[in-house]
Amino acid sequence: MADEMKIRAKLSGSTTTVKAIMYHPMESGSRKDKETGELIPAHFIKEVKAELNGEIIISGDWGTGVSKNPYWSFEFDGAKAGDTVKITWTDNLGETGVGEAVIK
Amino acid sequence: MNFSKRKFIQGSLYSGAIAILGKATFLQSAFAEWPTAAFDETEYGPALKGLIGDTELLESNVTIDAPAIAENGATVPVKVSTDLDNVEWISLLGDKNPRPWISRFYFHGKSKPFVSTRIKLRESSNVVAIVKADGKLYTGKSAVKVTAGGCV
Repeated sequence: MADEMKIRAKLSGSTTTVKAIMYHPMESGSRKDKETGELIPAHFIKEVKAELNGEIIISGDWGTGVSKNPYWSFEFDGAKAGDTVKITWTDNLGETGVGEAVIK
Repeated sequence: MNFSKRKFIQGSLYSGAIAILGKATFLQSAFAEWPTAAFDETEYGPALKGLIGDTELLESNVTIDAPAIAENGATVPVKVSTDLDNVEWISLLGDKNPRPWISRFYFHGKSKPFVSTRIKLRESSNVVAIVKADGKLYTGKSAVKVTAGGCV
C-alpha cells in the first residue's frame, strides 16, 4: 500500500543513504482516550528490516519509545544506482507494512 | 548405489549438525530475540540490566547527536554513530522514560554503524546509546532538556 511508507535511497560516492517514514500510530498503551478516559491499547512497530536486493542489511527491534510515524535513516556501502532497497515492518498486532525504493 | 549406508548416515548427521549450528549462530548474532526483559522494565537500571545483564560498559567511541533542548518530547531527533569496527548492534534508552528501553538496530553486510531516528522523551533526561562491537559494550549519553513532554 502506498500510504504505509515514504522511502528514498540516494547514492553519493560509495555510500547509499536511505530515509524512510513509516505511517504508524506507535501507541504506547499508557495513553488515555480524552473523551472516554479509557486506555488506548498498545499498537506499535516491534520489528523492522531493511534489505538490499533481497539481502538483509539492517534490522531493528523497537519499543513504544519510538515516535509516532517513525523516521528511520541509515547508510551502507556496496550498492549501485538501480539497486532496490526494501523496508518491512511488523507491529505488535501482527500487521505489516512494506516500502521499496530504487537507489538513485 | 555406490556409497555405503553408514557413510550416508554419517553425512546426514554431519550436515544436520551444521544446519543446527548455523541456525543458532544466525539467531544469536543477526537476530537476537526481541528484548522483552528490557522492554518490560519501568526503571532505567533494571531496563539496562534486562538489555545487557551485568556486562561492563566502556564509556568511549560512541557519538550521540541530539538537541540540547527539545520543544516537543514526542519527537526528538537522535543520531548515533561510532568509529568502532565490527558493530553488531546499537541500542537506545531514555533514562526517565516510563519504559526506558527504546530501540535496537542490528548491522549486517556493508551497513555503516550509524542510525538516525526520532524518539519520545517524557521529560528532560539522558539519551543513552549502547554499542556492541567485537563482543564488547560501549556507551555514550546526551542530555536533552524537554520543554513539552512526549506522551509515552
